[in-house]
Amino acid sequence: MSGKDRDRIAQLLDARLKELRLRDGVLPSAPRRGKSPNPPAIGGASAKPDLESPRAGRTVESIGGFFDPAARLNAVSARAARTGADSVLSDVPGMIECFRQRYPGRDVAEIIGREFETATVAAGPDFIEVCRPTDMEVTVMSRSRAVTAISSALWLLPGIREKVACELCGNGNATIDSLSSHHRFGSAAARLLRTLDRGGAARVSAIISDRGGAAHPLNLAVTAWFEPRDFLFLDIETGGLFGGSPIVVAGLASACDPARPGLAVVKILCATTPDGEAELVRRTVEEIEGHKVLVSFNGKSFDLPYVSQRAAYYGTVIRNDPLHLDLLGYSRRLFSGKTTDCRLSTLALEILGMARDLDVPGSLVPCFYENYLKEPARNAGLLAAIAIHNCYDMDQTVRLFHEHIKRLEGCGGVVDQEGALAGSEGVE
Amino acid sequence: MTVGQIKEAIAGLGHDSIPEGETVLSTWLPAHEARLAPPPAGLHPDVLDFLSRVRIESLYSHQARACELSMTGSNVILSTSTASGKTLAFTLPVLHELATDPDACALFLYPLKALTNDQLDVFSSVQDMSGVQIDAAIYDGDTPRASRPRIRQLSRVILSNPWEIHETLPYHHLWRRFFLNLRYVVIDEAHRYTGVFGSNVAQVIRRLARVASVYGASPRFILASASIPDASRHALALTGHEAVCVDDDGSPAGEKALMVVNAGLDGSGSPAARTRDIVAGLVRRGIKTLCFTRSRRTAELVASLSADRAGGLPISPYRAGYLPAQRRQLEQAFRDGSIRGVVSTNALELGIDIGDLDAVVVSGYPGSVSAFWQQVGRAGRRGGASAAIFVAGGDILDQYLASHTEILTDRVFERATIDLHNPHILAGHALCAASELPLKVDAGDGHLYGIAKSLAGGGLLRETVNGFIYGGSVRPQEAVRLDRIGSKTVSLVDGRTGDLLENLDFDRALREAFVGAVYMHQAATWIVRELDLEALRAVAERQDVDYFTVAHQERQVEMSGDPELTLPGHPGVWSAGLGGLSITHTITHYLKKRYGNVIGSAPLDLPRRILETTGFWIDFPASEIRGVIDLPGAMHALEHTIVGISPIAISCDPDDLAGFSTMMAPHSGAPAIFVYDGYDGGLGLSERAFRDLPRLVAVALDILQGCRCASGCPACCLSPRCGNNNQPMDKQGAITLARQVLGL
Repeated sequence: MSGKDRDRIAQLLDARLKELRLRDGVLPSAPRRGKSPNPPAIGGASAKPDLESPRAGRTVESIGGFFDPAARLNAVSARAARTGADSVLSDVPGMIECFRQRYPGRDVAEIIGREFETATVAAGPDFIEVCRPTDMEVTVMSRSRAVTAISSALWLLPGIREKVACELCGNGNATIDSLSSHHRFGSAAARLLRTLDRGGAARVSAIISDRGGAAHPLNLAVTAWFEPRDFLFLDIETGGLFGGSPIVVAGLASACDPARPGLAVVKILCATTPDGEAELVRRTVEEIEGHKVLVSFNGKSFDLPYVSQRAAYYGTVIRNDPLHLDLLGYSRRLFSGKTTDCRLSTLALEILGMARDLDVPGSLVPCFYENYLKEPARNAGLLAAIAIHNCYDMDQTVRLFHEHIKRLEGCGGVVDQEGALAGSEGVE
Repeated sequence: MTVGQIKEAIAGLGHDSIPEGETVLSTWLPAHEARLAPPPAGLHPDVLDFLSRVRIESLYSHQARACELSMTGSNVILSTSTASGKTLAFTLPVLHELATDPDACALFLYPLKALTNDQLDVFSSVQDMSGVQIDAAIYDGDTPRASRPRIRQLSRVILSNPWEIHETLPYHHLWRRFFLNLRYVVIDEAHRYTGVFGSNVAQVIRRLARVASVYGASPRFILASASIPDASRHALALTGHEAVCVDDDGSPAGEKALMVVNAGLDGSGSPAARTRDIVAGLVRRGIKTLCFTRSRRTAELVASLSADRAGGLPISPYRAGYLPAQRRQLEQAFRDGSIRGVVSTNALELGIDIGDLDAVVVSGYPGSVSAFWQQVGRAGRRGGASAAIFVAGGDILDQYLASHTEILTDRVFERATIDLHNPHILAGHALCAASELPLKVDAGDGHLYGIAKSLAGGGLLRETVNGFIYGGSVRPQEAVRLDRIGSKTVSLVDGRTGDLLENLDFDRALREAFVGAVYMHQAATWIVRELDLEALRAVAERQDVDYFTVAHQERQVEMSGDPELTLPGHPGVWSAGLGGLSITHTITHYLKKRYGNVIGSAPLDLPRRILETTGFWIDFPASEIRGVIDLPGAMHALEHTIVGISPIAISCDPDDLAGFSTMMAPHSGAPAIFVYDGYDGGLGLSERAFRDLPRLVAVALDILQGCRCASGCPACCLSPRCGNNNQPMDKQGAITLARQVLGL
């Protein structure tokens, strides 16, 4: 069997996989253009996308005519808002060109270094580690406020729901403390108080999750049981949604600099060759194992299982089981209906006022990575864009976490069983 | 049943059900005694305890031997007759292991979901009786998402199928406990894994073993199979491990009457009417009867007709397509005797537990000698006397068997074939494997290394220091199908109540559930009123009609692009080529038939189905060839023979290929034979055949010349898969044609 025959078989499989990608909305990589090693001049050749086999029923639109990347992206975003985000994804070659121009250069480490002046960038043959000190605080609730918050959540006791809680409050039993000699709830109250005192964070969190759901914001009160350095913020970028595809970038933030206690250092691990992933996974697992609390946005159903699967792929396991605070659930409870949607970038913009100028849509990550691997020098900006995107995600996760803690503290810790904070009347 | 009772029933059939002269064979297969052996020494006390509670004091010799071999570390393939107690034979060593090591786990694979239900029942009772905690569970596409984590955490015996394993392997980290403790992989009905399907499953099993080995497990294999030649070779091909073959069947058999009834003497096509009389006659006489038919419709028809004649005794149809609950209910009713007769497609050929049977009626040749004996073997459990009746219809194949019954009685079984080198299959599984664990290809394995390199060239794999890793972004498992069965199904619902009647495969729905079709379900007729192919829904209404409908499908072959390879052949006589073919299946209209007569027809507007594949063709430019009188018949016969020898020539199943002969080929306007892969995209099967075409034709010629039949038989050119009832057919012409191709 000749190499040509084998190549034909590979092409056949490739075609079948492309069909599946289109169906799943994972974008195909842009076809290689011309042979020109230089990107076309701004304002040059037509940006008409030549997407491979556009499927019937799927609109393929072009956003030709904008020469300035930012203007172009604004147009894309505007249309996204109008027609749903998916249409952003229709102009893949345009997007690629846009990011190449936004992040020019042939070296990923250098491009990232340019973007973050305070960062140290260490580059190996397969791997880049970006370390960026920030002024963001890793916030924990004070122990006393946490105990107050938990103690006023009467619904934590079996048998108490809203109506009973109201009655008890009316009778002056506003806290679990005050119930410790109650004829009906006394023993349960005493048990809970003992757990609060000695049971440890995992036990307390389990009780809150059991009574209020795993996404109940009161879970954040258990941060009081920890030091800022116990926390690890995690967010990964991957070559696909299926755990058989590699992790491209892992963002890990923690208060790991003893010289600046309590302040987050954002660490970005970036595989610049396929060989780099094994190392990336090894270090990510190490970081997870080195911390007691994991904070993520949607990490319970995506990031952590994905890291586990990749760890298993390379023959290792994550040996600890950190307490996991997933901000997606808390945010849904808290902000649902008050923001446009519950994506991290939306919450960042509408709740925290953090805007991004130019950002890779998550669903374009696999396609950007593939294009980078095809021509690493020419497409260095694409991988850098993924890493920078991840860096912003990390910032927003840390800030969103802070916001959640503040809000929990701000309401005097009064949270009902559904997760509504007392006195919260929509978002200002 | 006693021999006397069976004799009496057969004599009775001769009076009222089988006309004189139609019985072409009536013989008795001798009984043989059970050969027993004590349970192997060293069985765990819990297993012995279990045996004594179910009152089994000794085993059949093959059970004891298989158990002992397995306990001492061998891989085993059991290749014995239907109902010889294979389930107990592989359950005992597994139970021994589970009892000895409280963490040990086992995986059982079945080619049919229905079979896992029975095995689950077996393990529930084994757990009760032995006290060994097993928590057996079915894990397949139907397992609710919510119960999956618990099964993965807890169950020590998982009952599943190759399709599910194929899909699940990338998530092996969720199965850590199971893989760490995996001691046994049991593969039941192993003969089913043949041809392209078997070759795919062989790769799935290798992927499974590779994942297990990362967790330090090297499970033993036990395979159970119907009787096949060279079973240990099949086990080796399927699992990659040497296995000892146990085929010395120690189970008892009662005397069995074997009859062949030729119901096609008058040339009428279907054996349905005679089958109806025989089934009704047996059931009326208190004989518990299972009847096999070739098609779903015949099963429904025969059940409904014979029930009318069985004096009010219930006779029920059974086939794939029924909802699982309904099937379970029928199996139960047949087991407990509330139904005395069942008419089934080959859905009941495998080991689904339907209790003891007295007679099996096989209506029309099931396509292979193996399948015939699998079906016949379902009667006469526990050593009682039984009857097996083959009813031959009017088609050429059945007629041939009716006059050459030795083909059935000699029991020369078809072999299972597996191809471990097909690059299409390997490439697909290389992608899947690389998405599960880095794929380390031994430099010595040039074939696989070349394939991996090509995949890496397109970015689907990426070569790293750890091996090849998967570079795509969607699950490759979805792009690699193990067989041809489509995943799309159409729901057929009762238009009055909205209740779901059954789910049909998409292609079958096009052929059988078009608007106006008479659809038989549970022996009643329904008229299809709506077929919505977008919503995948068909609506039918119950209505008694006395006609049935047949869709007419046409097949067109076209070349897509230029030939990739050509053979000049002999100018003016023949030439050949290989290339992309596009086979269009169009359902043009349907016929209404009553008693075999056409009473009407109506056009149909249904989507065409196009198979894009690879195939080869042999052109015969002259429309007359010296020495060949019936050229269409000669080409048809040669085409059948070439497809028929594919298992030996290119290690695939005849089902994996398809053939087509025409007097007007689209590319030449002249006569040609086409042979193509029955898989979308092609699998390189016909390509391999083409590269060795002269040898292939020489083998075909050998078969045709060496066969003692005069005008064609199943051993040479008659095919059970033929869509044209094996007509026209000219064996002598085929011999002349083959000789010309070979220049003889």
